[in-house]
Amino acid sequence: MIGLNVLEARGLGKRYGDQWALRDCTLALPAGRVVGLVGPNGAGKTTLLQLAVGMLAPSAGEIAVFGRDPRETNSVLPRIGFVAQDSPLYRNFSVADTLMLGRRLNVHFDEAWAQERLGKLRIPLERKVGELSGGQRAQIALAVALAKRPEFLVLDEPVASLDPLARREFLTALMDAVAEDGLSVVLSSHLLADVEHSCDYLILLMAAEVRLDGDLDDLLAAHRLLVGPRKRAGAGGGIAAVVRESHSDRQSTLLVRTDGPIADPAWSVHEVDLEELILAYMGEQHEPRLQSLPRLEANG
Amino acid sequence: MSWLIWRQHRQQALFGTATLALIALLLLLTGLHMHSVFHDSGLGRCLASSHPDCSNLQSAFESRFSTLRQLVPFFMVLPALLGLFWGAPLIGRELEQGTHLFVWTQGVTRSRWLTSKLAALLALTLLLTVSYALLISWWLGPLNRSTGDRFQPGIFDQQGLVPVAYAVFALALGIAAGAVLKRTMPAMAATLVGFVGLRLIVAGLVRRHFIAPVKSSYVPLPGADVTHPGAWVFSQHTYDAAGRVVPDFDVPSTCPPSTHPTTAALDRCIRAHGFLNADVFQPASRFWLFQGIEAALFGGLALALLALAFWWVRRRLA
Repeated sequence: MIGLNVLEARGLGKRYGDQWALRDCTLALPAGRVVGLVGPNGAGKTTLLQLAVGMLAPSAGEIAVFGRDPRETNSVLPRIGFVAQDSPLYRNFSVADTLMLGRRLNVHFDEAWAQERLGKLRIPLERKVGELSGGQRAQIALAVALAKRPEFLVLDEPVASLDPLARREFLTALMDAVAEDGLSVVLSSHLLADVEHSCDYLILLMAAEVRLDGDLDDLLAAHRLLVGPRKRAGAGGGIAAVVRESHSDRQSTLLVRTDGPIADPAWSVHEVDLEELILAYMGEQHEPRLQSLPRLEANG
Repeated sequence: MSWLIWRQHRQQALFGTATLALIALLLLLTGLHMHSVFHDSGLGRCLASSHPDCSNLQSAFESRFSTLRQLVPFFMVLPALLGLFWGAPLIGRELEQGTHLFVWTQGVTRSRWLTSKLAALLALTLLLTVSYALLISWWLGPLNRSTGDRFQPGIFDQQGLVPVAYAVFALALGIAAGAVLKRTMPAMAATLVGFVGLRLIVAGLVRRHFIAPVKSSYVPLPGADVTHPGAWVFSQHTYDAAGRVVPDFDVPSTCPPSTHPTTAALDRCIRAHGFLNADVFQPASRFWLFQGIEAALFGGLALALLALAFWWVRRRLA
């Protein structure tokens, strides 16, 4: 396998009954990146992450972490830190017990480091986990995951249940740890802001399928917003594909993937931001078309 | 793993051990008293002699300890409690609270996690229930010998090997139900229904067919009463010459001793009318064989349920 990729998936799918939670997913995540996995609720984010840590077995295709099947857990598990959605921990354990669990169940576990880290966050070690706030529990779960000194950190909606302040604290703590250790991270979120501030690589999941993935800067560089007189546009002249288009009586607005400079001078060309980009891809199938207009052929 | 097992299950273990210790104390104190009464009253010696008529001693002994004896059937719920409070939450609560995602993604695989937990729980269950079974079998000894009914349904179930098998079965049922149903309370309900249901079905319908019963036929001559001490008797009927079941008093009313003054004359009359007794029963000598079969049945089911729990955790929850 290719050493540069921390995770590779080919035709990966997971089915529950006749419902695909994830289908035909092909990805290669380079090492050393912070990958944001975004998509609406129910898009398959949790399924993909649980496949990555060997909690789930694929129904189709294959997935490799460090070049190995993540369900060969003896070799892969010790190298992964995973925090599931809502940071499940034993509520009747004290914080110290939780760290002790980490030490007893892992070959490598830096308990002293975790204690120090939680001490800095002013989380009392003798308190029961169930008595702490959601933000504190998330910090404990992250501390346990990081104390394994993982090469690959997988976080499922780590900040979803946190208030804005706790959210920022958590992401700051995460980014410090990433900067310190240079580990690879995947974190899922249904909030763009989290991704924008902390990630440099993006995967967009929509309705169980990967809609978009790549380096964040590359993705932004490869897309442009075109505004001009009302007209259709297809591929060619620098336009690789039209992701989304909207038309008013006189004006058309297109979000396109480019493969060169836009040739048609009628378009005024603008850069896109992450939110525009993601909303364009998310809205692609769902945006109702204007009724007053004749049907325009989408070319995305 | 052992630290985690102790941390998570110490309360259950201490509570279970304390409950058993309490029961053991009760059984020891009353049992020692019962054994001494059994011997000091001469009942033990009487029952050991070759032609015993110990009915007075027996009824005195049995009435003295009847209240205590009525206590023992309550202990039959103990295995169900193991299934409910040790078995059902083992996997069920982890899945319910999502903590399986935490504990199964540390450095220990879920298979090893489950193996270690099962080994610890089974070991403790065996330790407790084998101690209990030895104690209760010793306790029931004098009553068994006096009443001779240890093969009867309900009394058979309280002693010997089967309490251990019931406990292991209930534990395995709770564990498997927790894995499959993924929630503690429904798993507890399923365990209770499944355990009580199967116990009743086996005790009421299945056990009697473990081995074909013995059928013994004999002419119902007076003074030659046939009894089956310690046996589990299914039926004792008197048949006439045509093979119809008749009430057993048909024999003395057809051949009354008053008109047949000698034993020989009476015998001739009974044989001439073709009366025949037929008893269907499981002889007392099969007690341990039946214990073995029933223990193997519940033990085998327990193994199958544990295999199911393993498969479910490794495959279905993946």
